[in-house]
Amino acid sequence: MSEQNWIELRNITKDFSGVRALDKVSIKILPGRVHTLVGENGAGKSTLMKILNGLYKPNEGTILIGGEETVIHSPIDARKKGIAMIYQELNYISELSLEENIFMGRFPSGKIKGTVDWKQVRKDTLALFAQEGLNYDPAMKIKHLSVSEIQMLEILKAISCDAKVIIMDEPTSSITTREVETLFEHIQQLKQRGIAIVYISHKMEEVFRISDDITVLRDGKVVDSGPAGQFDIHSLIAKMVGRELKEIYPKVQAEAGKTVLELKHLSSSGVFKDIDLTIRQGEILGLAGLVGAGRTELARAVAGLDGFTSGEIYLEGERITPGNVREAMQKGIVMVSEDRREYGIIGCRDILENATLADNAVSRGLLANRRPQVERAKNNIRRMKVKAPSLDILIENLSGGNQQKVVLAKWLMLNAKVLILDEPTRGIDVGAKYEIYKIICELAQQGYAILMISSEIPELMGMADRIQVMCRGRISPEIQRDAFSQELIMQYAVGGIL
Amino acid sequence: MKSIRHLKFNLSKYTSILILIGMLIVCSFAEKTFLSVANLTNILRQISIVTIMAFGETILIIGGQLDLSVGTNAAMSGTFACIVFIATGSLALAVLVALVLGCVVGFLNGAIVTKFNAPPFIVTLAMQQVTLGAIFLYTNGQNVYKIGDFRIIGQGTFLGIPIPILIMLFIGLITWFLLSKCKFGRYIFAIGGNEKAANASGVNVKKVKLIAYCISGTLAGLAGVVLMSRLNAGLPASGTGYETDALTATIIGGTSFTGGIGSAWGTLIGSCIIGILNNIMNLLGVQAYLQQILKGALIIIAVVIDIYTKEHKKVVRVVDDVLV
Repeated sequence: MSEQNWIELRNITKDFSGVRALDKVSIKILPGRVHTLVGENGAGKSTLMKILNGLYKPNEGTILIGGEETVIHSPIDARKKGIAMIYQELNYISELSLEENIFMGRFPSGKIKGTVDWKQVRKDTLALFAQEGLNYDPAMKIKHLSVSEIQMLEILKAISCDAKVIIMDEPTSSITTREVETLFEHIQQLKQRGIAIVYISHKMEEVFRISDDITVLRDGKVVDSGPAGQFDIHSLIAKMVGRELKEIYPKVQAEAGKTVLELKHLSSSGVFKDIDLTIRQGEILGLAGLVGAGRTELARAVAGLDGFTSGEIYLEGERITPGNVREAMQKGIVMVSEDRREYGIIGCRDILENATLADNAVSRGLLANRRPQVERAKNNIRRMKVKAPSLDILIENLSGGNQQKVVLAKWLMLNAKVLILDEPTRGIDVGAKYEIYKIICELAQQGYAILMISSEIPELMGMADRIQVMCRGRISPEIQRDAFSQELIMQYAVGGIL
Repeated sequence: MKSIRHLKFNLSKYTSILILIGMLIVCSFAEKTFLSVANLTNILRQISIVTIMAFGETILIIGGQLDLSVGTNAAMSGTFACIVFIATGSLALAVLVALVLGCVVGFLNGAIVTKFNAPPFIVTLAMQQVTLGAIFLYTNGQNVYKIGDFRIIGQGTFLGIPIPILIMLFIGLITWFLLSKCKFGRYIFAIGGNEKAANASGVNVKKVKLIAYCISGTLAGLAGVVLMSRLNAGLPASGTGYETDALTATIIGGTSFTGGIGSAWGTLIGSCIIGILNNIMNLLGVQAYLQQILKGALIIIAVVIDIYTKEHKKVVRVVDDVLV
């Protein structure tokens, strides 16, 4: 392992039109170690990584590779210098084969310039697969692989370019718990080869499991940096948000009232089967499970987005069959989707329009934006503590946390009875997460019956009154709050008990 | 804590009006007769037909849709209105027939698009052929002459203002009202911005789209009436090409081709820009073919501006501390 491979960023400063995104940031990335960057959204993590990856040029400061000063001109230049980046949103062309994806942009040239030496491509790909003990057909289209397999392929691609540093931007945000284990094994192997990993994550457990070094960024400055051992979860979060969070979960045990939502033997062929659950007024029912267990599908069926094949839904004792979203909304069931960008917001429209859209859809009359509606929307937006200079800001310009608050405000306009929250804190930074938790608890106290889906078990354990776990379309019996345990939930989730 | 002020800067919102003002100034220097009331009225009358269609197109494009059949639909509905007028002598009936016929074509477009999830481009391109063929079939390819008082709509005036201009402004007002004040407008913007999110928020996406197509079709029918009465005859071949002009006006007026952004006001300005461009080039004796090239260039510029402003808007960051 050569000590030549360390990379150092020294006094990096970056301004965007007068705004300081990074202020004299210095970090050292050592070979064979995982260096984790933590910080809230907007703290400067991604700007720093984009500088390392050659997308941005720093205004001041130097980058040293193996002790020598260098300038990184572009992502391609970064690759040549041994820096590879694996983006949160994986870049691949789904209709092309594995080998084409791996060698995209650097195909070996054939005899005639401009042609591709496909034999060489095949040979190199097979060699790469053999080296990693993988057994894929190089000609297979990449779309047949799972997200985590594609991620592995990206790592492979980085290795094949002789990367010394691999930057991973929230690599676990879209893979299942089991796949996370595989990823971590891979990271261990990379470490043994002397490759440095720069790891960006919002998930605290992960950070402590995987990191050798941790650097905390806040408002573009390094707040603290050092070996992972010198941090604990509370001090780390306090450093990230710049204040001590009293608790991570502001859970208030609400008094459970009458039964609001009841599902009996709800089934949708091939997706979920025989789902029984009950939520009372003021209660938060947590729904745990692995990605693909059928939780989102169940929620969508209840919210009228998808249909179901058999079983019954009762709302306050009355049987309902929501045929579409509007019907579910009118009955009082609303859902905050896990994919905010796709199902939650209209990016190119402003806050007010987004907040009144659902109300428009179910209220009477032809005119929009009448005064009482606007007043109610404003109240809700204020109650959600949306941070924005005015209501005519396009929602796509808000941070993830504020977008989510607007989505919540939209649904509060309806005075619904059941609130389904599918991964309500996905892609939201620590400080804003706490605010969302607080809002959820308030809503429960106010009398909403809440179904909360989350892949983060600690979050569910912190927030829910009861938890049920889904695994391969089936649902577990309920676990009461005093019996919550991560092990038990995990066992249900992987199908160890059911 | 640092607070980054939100820059309320949206180029596309103001570019078209700035271009219009710039053109008025330049043209008034280039040609003395340009700023005369007669010439300006003439410009407005010339753009009225395109603009009426463009208002319908604006609603559709904001909603992420498209109608390529407006030109031929106008020709079909307008020519048929002439035939009805000659047969019955009733102007009201003739106009009504054109509106209904136009609406039916729009309904068919919308029904096929929403029912089968078919791409609007293909569906309305096919409808272009169907409507063109239909009126040629009915008239045997013959023009309809001697339309008598039918021409009042296109050639008459009310309080000294040409009727086509009044119709155009009236339709513009209605379009503005629909887009800015009605729930229908909120839905159209939402669907064009993010159809899935609109659906998940309870918007009846198919119904709204269908209504938008019907509006576009009806306005095409109305434009057809104005067109034929200006031409003083029912000419089945006269509508071809109007869809391009309507699209051009819409895009130059700042309506985003990717949907979710646009306005009736912008389309009126966009149409004026093209009208003035045509007018000044005619006054200056620019060759007709060259005019076409310039118009094409204008569309490309408008689209590039749209894309450019969209990309650069993303840099604008809103950060905190300010509570609504």
